[in-house]
Amino acid sequence: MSDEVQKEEKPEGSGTPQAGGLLEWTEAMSVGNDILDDDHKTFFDLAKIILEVDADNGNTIVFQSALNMLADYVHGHFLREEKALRAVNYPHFDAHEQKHKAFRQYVMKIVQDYGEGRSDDIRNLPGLVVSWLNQHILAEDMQYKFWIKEKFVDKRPLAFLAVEAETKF
Amino acid sequence: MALTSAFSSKKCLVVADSPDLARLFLHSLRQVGLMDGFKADDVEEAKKQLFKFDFDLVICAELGTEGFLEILRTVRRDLQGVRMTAPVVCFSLNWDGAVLPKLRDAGITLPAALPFSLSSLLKTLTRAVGPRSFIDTPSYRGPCRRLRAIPDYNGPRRRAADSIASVEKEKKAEPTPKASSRPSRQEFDTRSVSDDYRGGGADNEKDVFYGDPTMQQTKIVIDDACVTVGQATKLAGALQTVKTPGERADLLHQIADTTERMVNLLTLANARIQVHGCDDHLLSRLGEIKENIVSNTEGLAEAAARRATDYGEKILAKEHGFPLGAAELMTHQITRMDTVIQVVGGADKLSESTQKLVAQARQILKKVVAREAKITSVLPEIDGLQA
Ligand SMILES: [Fe+2]
Ligand SMILES: [Fe+2]
Repeated sequence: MSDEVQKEEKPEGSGTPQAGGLLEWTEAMSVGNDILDDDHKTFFDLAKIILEVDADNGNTIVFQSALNMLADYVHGHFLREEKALRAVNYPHFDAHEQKHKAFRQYVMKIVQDYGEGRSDDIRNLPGLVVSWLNQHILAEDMQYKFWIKEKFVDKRPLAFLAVEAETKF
Repeated sequence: MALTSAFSSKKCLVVADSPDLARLFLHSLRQVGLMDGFKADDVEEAKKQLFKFDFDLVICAELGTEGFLEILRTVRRDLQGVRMTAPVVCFSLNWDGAVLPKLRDAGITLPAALPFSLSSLLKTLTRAVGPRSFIDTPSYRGPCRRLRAIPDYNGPRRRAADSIASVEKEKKAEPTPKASSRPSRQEFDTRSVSDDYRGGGADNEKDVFYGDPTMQQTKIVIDDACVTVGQATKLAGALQTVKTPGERADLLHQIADTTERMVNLLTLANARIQVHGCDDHLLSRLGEIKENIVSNTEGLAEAAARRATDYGEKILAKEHGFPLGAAELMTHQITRMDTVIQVVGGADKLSESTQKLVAQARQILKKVVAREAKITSVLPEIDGLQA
């Protein structure tokens, strides 16, 4: 594994786990587009599900499925955003894409580690995801709020974007 | 949410053994575009909901064999009209080879693996709701299992409708159930669904020769057996004229394939006759078939023995490691060989060389069984070490 990837394993904003009560999307996080807002809300919902899973009840399948979902959400949502941003020639596109790339790699590593039995505690993951999202939405996504044009946002459900992303990433 | 997809107008019931799993499914379904999802915490609650509401899709997760079967029986046998055609997808972490045929015969649309992901869920559901004919016969009710149309298919046709309907028609068929006299669940349970399915879930559109659908299906099975015997006889006859060892091996391979199909059909015909009875006409046809086999049995028995031998030798040579279950598969092949031999009245009716080959196949089977027993006896120890 290269140094660059190692460095990207824990992207900025992902260091402070949050309590369950903060796992909420708020109006202040709106990027002005319903589809992209819904994607962001979905991340929060999934984080909540992972936190509330009854870990004592042999729910490995639920955890593993939820992690797979998270990986697919990351792939699908980032693809949706990047397609929309590219279409409007967003000036900070490259930097934004890099942030996505770093987080994508981070999530993929966690999913892989859990799948291979190298990590059996994913309790911190929802907090990490939400911290990153809070930070990323408020600091990065918010910057494209006035650039994004609805007609360039792919309106298909996230699953379709995730499948499309399989061929790209 | 302004999202649209093929699933946006669908209503789905999720039945899972754990509330967490059900919750995750419902959450995921929304990301597939299916917003109208409901959950049932157990099979009993699911049955109540199935009777009460129309669902376009049913997802079952980790319900165990009986749970899966109960949902399938409810949807396919107890519900009426279009409700019984709803796709039923069953998710499980551990699929057992013995369970799948039971679910297939009960009308499952798709078995799927856990854990799932968003993309795997979309792919699974797309397959499940895709256009597919629905077969509604007295003994099988469920999706058509002809997933592939083979343009140059020359094997036996198992449905009466095959002789009048083109492959194109089959492909375009809408998933509308045929209105037929619906047997009660009790009647349904007493029938050999597995046998009838292998018999092809015959439609009752042609061959009004037998008004009784059960008899009609037996006739179709015997007709198919007759066609297959004809093919096997022709191939066995050709054995006399082949010149090179390569041609002979190739021919024996074809004979073995045809013999397997033929033995399956004959076994099925016998089972159906034992359960449902049949008239003199069908019995005499079956007799003719057996006579035909007798006259060509040498080639058929040789092919069956050679196939089992080849398989066993490959296994013992460890070309691909030792696959667990090989002993069972080979036993199955030997049973087919024995069926052919029984039809002619015993191994002593065969030539010396074929007898030798038959004995060799049995020897190899013993070795394969012993090898597998040895391997499986070590497995618990390995498990213990890992634990
Ligand atoms: Fe975003
Ligand atoms: Fe973003």
